[in-house]
Amino acid sequence: MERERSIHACENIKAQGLSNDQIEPIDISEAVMRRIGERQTAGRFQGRAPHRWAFICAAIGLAVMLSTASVLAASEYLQLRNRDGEVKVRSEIADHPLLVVPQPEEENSPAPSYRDRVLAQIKPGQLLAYSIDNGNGTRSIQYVFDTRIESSYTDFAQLAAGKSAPAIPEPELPDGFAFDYGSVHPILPIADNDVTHAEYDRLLTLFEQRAESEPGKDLYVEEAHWTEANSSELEYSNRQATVRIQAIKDAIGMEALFPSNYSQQIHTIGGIEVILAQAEIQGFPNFAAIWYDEVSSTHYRVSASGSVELTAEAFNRIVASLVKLTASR
Amino acid sequence: MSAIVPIPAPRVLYHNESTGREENPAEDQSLERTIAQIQQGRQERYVEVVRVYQQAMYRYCLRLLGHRQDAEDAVQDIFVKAFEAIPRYRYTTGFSSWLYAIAHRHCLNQLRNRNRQTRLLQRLFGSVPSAESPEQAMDSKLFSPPLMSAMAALSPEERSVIILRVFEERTYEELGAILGCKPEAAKKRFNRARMKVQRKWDKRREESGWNENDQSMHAKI
Repeated sequence: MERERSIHACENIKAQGLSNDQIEPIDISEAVMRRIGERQTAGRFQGRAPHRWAFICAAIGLAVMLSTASVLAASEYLQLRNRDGEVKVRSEIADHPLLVVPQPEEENSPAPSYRDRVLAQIKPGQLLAYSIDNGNGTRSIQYVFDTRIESSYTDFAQLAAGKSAPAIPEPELPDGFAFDYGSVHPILPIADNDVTHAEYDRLLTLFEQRAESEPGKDLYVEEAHWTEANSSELEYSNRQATVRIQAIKDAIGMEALFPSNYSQQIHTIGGIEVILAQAEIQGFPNFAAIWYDEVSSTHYRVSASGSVELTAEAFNRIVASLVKLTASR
Repeated sequence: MSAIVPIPAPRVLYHNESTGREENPAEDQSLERTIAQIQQGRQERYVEVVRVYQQAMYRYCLRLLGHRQDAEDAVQDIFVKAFEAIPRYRYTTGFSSWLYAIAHRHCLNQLRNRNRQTRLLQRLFGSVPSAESPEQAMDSKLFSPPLMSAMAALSPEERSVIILRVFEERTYEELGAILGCKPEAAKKRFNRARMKVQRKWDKRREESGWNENDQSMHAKI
């Protein structure tokens, strides 16, 4: 009763203010990075590798200048809708290009993070939950998982079917492409979810009990139960190019943001609208395709990059065969 | 020697029946990985964090500070401060709560400074009719007149709590992490602020015969 009164009061207040989508978007990302770069070069931060910032800023500046000439239709966006007219995919070309940044020859070796420590003990197929004290008497849970299959497409398809993950048919690829890996993304237990809150509560209780019985430890790890996955990923490569296919089920929408180097258009393949985007970056073609299959309530995304031999026509053929295969399932 | 920053992965949104929010727990996990890389020296990846959160931070600052330019400046300051503090972020509270906590403290300081400046002007020049209080200077399109008047009766801390809970839809756990208290205490603080708004509203309704159902906002700013 009290909860209902509170929700009602919140809704009343909310209705008296501008909604989030009525507030104009801003983009201050470049200004922030510029300010950070300036402070870094002025020695204001005591970061791990301050000298790297000078290179990063210079490289970002150079990349911005070089790509300005190829900027295509800034802030242009495309939408795919379902039969009820709801927007299921929104794909936008940003007004900033893909940044080219120097990568350090060798990474520093910082102390392993909590995540690294948990990853060191994970076994194939596991979803591990880990928890540390928030410092204010509360506790939150983070997850890592290892669902990577590197043996064959058949093993991946078996895993996906067993976990009710969205199906990705075996793609028809040009000669020379071989299976790299396939994986699924488990549905993670969270507190505010009707399906997963029981598992979340179980884990939270376990962690609280362990914190009491094993005081002084900074990290607690438990295996989480999972039975379902909501997305799948598949990757193939030849010596130079990589093709990645992702499928995500039951999402209310997908928002894609391509750098300004890209151009995009909608194509209709077998009655299904597909957004195809492409760009040439550092002399290499990059492609992406997104579509929504209404029957299975699944979003698909295919991306490819890395080789001049992979032409737009070849990529479009891969996408067309996948669209048809996914639609016929 | 050079590498290309990967194209940001598309945002995938799920509807959570329990909270009514559009969210993606997996996205939070992927962001945690990006943050771990930033902590390990890949500082250029911070731009991805800014792009994910800049809109939410701007909305929060705009509603609290009530002024577009101030809000934009505040968001930049918040992200610079967060970058400075990111080596100390330890995956305890979610990253968004950690960021909101920085924003909360920053905006309250801004409002205190504004109040100090107004008081100083008044001391120097006597009454300053043109100097508006922060509440009076608030962008009049953000809230309906009744809510604006109710919000003006709250302290900056209380306004922040209302904005975080109602407009930014933070849970009490998240609110506790932002305010640095337990979720139960955060709930009490929110309910106190909400009751104040309600009382102010009721009073205004009695005085002017205002009908809240006719007052929803349609403007776009």
